[in-house]
Amino acid sequence: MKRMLCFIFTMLNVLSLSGCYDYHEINNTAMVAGIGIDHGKEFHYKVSVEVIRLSGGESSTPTAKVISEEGENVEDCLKRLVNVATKELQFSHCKLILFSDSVTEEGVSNLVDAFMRDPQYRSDLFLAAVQGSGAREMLSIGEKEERIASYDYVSVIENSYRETGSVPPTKLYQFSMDGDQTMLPLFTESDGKYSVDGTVSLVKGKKFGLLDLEKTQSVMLVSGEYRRGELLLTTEDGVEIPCQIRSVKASRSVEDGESLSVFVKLECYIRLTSMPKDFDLSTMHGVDAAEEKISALLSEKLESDWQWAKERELCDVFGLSVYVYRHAPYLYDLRNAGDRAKIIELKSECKVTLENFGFSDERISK
Amino acid sequence: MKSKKQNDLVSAEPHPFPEFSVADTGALTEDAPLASALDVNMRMLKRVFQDDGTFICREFFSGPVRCFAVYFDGLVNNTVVYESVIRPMIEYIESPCTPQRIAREIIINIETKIVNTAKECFDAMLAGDSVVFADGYGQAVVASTKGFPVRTPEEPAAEKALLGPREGFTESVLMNVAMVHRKLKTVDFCAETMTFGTRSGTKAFLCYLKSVVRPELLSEVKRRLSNIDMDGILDSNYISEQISDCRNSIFRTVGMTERPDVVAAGLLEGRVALIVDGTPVALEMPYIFMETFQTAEDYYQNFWFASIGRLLRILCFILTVSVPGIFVSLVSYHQELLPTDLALSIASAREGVPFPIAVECFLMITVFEILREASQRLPGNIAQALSIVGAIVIGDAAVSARFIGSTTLIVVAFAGITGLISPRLENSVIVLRLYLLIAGSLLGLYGILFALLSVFFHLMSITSFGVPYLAYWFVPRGQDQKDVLIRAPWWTMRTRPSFFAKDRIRKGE
Repeated sequence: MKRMLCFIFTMLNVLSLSGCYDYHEINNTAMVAGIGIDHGKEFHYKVSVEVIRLSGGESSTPTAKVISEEGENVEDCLKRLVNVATKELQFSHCKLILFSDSVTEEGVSNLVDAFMRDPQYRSDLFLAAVQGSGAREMLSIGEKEERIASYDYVSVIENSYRETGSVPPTKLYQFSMDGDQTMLPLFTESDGKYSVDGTVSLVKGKKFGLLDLEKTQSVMLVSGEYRRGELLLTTEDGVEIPCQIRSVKASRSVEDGESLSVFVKLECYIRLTSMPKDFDLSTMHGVDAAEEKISALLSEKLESDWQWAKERELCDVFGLSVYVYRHAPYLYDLRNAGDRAKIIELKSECKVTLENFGFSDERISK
Repeated sequence: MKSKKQNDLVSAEPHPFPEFSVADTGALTEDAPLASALDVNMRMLKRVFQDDGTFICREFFSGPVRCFAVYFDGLVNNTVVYESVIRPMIEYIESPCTPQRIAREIIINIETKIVNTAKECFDAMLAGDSVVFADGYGQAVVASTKGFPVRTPEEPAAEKALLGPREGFTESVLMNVAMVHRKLKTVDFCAETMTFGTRSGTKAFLCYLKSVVRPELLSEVKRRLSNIDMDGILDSNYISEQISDCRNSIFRTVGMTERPDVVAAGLLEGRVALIVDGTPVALEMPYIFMETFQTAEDYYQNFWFASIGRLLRILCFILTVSVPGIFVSLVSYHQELLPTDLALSIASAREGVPFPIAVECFLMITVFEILREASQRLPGNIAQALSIVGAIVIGDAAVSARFIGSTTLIVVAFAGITGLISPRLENSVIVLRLYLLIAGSLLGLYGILFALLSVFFHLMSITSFGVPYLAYWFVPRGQDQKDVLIRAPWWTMRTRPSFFAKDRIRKGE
């Protein structure tokens, strides 16, 4: 009897604490691949969702359609979308949120925060911005070309980050972690096609400025997020040295000397993609000289990019003030300047190791 | 010298046999002595077996003495009866023909025994012996003339092995005991005779190695066997269910095997085996959960392959039990856990299917079990036709007709195939699979976890003759782990399993 009572109470607990309330058949839901947020005409926001269409059958490929609704806030738009959608919207496979130019200028912090707090969204979905057209137009490309555009844009971001290292793969959870300063990949439209041409720098969730891919590369090298990619260095004489960074190891530290500075140390393994005239890689000394030269050029590039950003009041895109605040808060407080980022200096030391060279060493010959 | 009682019986008329009673249960309750008058004995036997068409009573003279032999046709070897019993009796012309002389001098090439009571005669006849009566003596001679048809040993269908011995038990208990004894040529080998069933009188042998088996295990087995009270025991499972520790469990706590090598290996580890007459299935006690994943072949091939095979069986057991339930819970409750491409593929395959995924899965599992059950009982050629019908009709046509989704079919087929890899757990798997499917359908992954925990707790709670059912899973001793998840090389297994054997030293005895 005692066992039976225990069993009944356990089952009652189990069934009352959980149940079939969140049961939904997978084929009765409309999976959302991406969300686009624009400013609306009648209401403040216009939210567009790219819904995957399943035609059924074994060999059919899924296509997509975009539906939009306007509302005072994003939640309001999503509620209105339910009335338009033929099936229950399922956001767990949504991989991209696109912000239009005007939305990023207004600020996206609150929007991102709302998505972050809603458990039905993946925390690793990508954030991006679009310039030149609206987010809806960008998503609608997939509807015309019978493909899922959002997933393709995500692939573009991932590939660019993996191969060139010049596009930050900013995800929903990173936006919250990065604090005041974030960069979003920026898609621009050209001949009806969208590609990543740079990044949008957000400070406190608002658009602060735009960076091209070269400057983004410098920012990512300094922040330690760079993995590998093509790098173009230019000497004082105007000679270009195209090379490929195979791997990077970055370390940063705060130095409190005459000025408050962040010391960045980079250890790079580089492969030259074409041989400059004044490089002699046939001897050990020549290789050493080349490595020194490239190291100096890389340091110079980082510091000059920093100066460029600093002059344009974009210095926060490097995130150095955040770094100082986190790792040396006592120094940060001591230098109680109005704009702390302006007093921070960047010092860099690069150690480059060339991977592709050939020389005849006497010892080896012997 | 005749006893006083026997003299009274001879002189008393009418003889007490008319009052001889056969109890309602069919068993003889009165141990009545035999009469010295031949006709009285014959009348008694003919009355008792008047409705049995196989009962044969053969009258003859041995010299001047009237005699008769009784036996059951089909239970005896007719040639032996005529050549070794009746013919020597007829050819014997010297007088007097006493039971002692019959047993010692006339019937000389087969085993004989002198009996005094009717019950002893009946037991002997029912066991396939012939009983010879001579006029004027209150005793009879039992001659061993057993000769019923016996199947030759074949490879057991349920426990096939590519390597190792191919012989399996038959329905003859003596032959079965001999097969085990042939593998264990030691004076330690004991085979105690037991009889079960008040009507069936089923003979069984309790086998063990007396220097290895733990005495408390042996006494516990004997105690449980002695408590069996049933009129007919036709198979070892009749006994197995009555001596199990946890009778309501879906897991076996008494092992069953058709292979003499498995029984011999069990006895060497300190187990007790019960070989029952009339069935090729022997019982092994104790029996733990890990043994369900062990096969005889594990010990006949390289330890690497044996270990991989065993790990594969464990993995398949987990998969076959949990895959349908997890699939339903993921597709119904936790779609975010599915990779996007897989989610799209499943959703696409389920477009237009009328049933919810849980019902669909349940139906497909039921169909699979029906097909399996049908193909098991059918002859080979019809079973082949059935499998074709199952594959084409259920597999292809049902998907094409949008009756079921192709992904569900794949999942159920996968669960079905992985379930066949451990035949010993086949029946438990069916119940567990449905249990997890229902739990997953109602409560999602939470339900799966809940169901798995409850199964685990149940496994933890049961024992087999005092040995924990999950023995060796959580025992840190290295020696005990060498034949659990993997099968270690023989040279490293120096001791027997600690839970079973009294004498644990396997090597260096």
